[in-house]
Amino acid sequence: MLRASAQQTGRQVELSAIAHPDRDSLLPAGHQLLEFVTALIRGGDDLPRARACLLEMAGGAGVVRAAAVSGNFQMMNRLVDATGVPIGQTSRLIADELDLDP
Amino acid sequence: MDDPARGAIDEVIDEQWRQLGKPGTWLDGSERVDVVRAARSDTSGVIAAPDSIGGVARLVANGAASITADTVDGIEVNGIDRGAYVEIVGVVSRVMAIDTFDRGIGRSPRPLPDPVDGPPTRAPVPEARRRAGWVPTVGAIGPPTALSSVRREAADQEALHDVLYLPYSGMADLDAERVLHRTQMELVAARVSLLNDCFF
Repeated sequence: MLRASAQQTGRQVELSAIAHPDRDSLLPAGHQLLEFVTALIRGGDDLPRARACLLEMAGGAGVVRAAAVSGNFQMMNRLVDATGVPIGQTSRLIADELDLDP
Repeated sequence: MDDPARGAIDEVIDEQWRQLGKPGTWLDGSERVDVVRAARSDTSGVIAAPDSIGGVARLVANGAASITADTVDGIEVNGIDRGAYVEIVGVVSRVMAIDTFDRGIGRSPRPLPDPVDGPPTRAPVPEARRRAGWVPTVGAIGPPTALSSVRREAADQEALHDVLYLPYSGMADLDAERVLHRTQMELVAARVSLLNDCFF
């Protein structure tokens, strides 16, 4: 969906930033979003710092939205994995491109 | 932290949290609160073939990527029927969503919901049947239908998906903007999924 959204709306995106968040995703506040999400999901001590950085770049509403989307995919990931929703061919190709093993 | 939709998010998750303690479709109120408690436990209690409601909840919360068709068959052999399994998946998934959102905005974890006495409804969905996935569904299995054999769970999951991300009816709008542009939302989604070893 990331690639599809970027292509349809004429935005550039560097997909490898998903697996390597130190790389530039080319999206606004992309680095701060990736740091925030990583700290939020991993549950480390660096969440307050990551939240503050995102707040500075995207504002309070941006933090709320990033937390909301993160929560949604915590839900959806478990739902699809636990019920056996099949992985589509597109997802397999992108996983291969990112050198991941589905 | 202000977001025009923050009130709508809180309204939905506050109500869903209260409902978690009430009797469900296959689990009673105490069992559902046990699921909430187990979903919040760490990975130390995760076993591959659980034979208790709490064990299944821990597996779904902390090891969903390891679940296979054989896992779900084994859970059924161990005495937890597929309807209850679907309800556990629904409750755990929503607890993970709500806890993640609260932690993300710097809010403390909610106390466990109060269990409410009463029997589960045991309302069957006759048209649900096993297709490509590991649980019965109404129609082909996909994210919107994965919980469709337990109507209440499917409805609550859809409502949460709507306020936290996008309505299912709006998924085709690749230029959507809810403070974040769709591309930024998808960047967040992709990173969460990678950290969860989920490749959907």
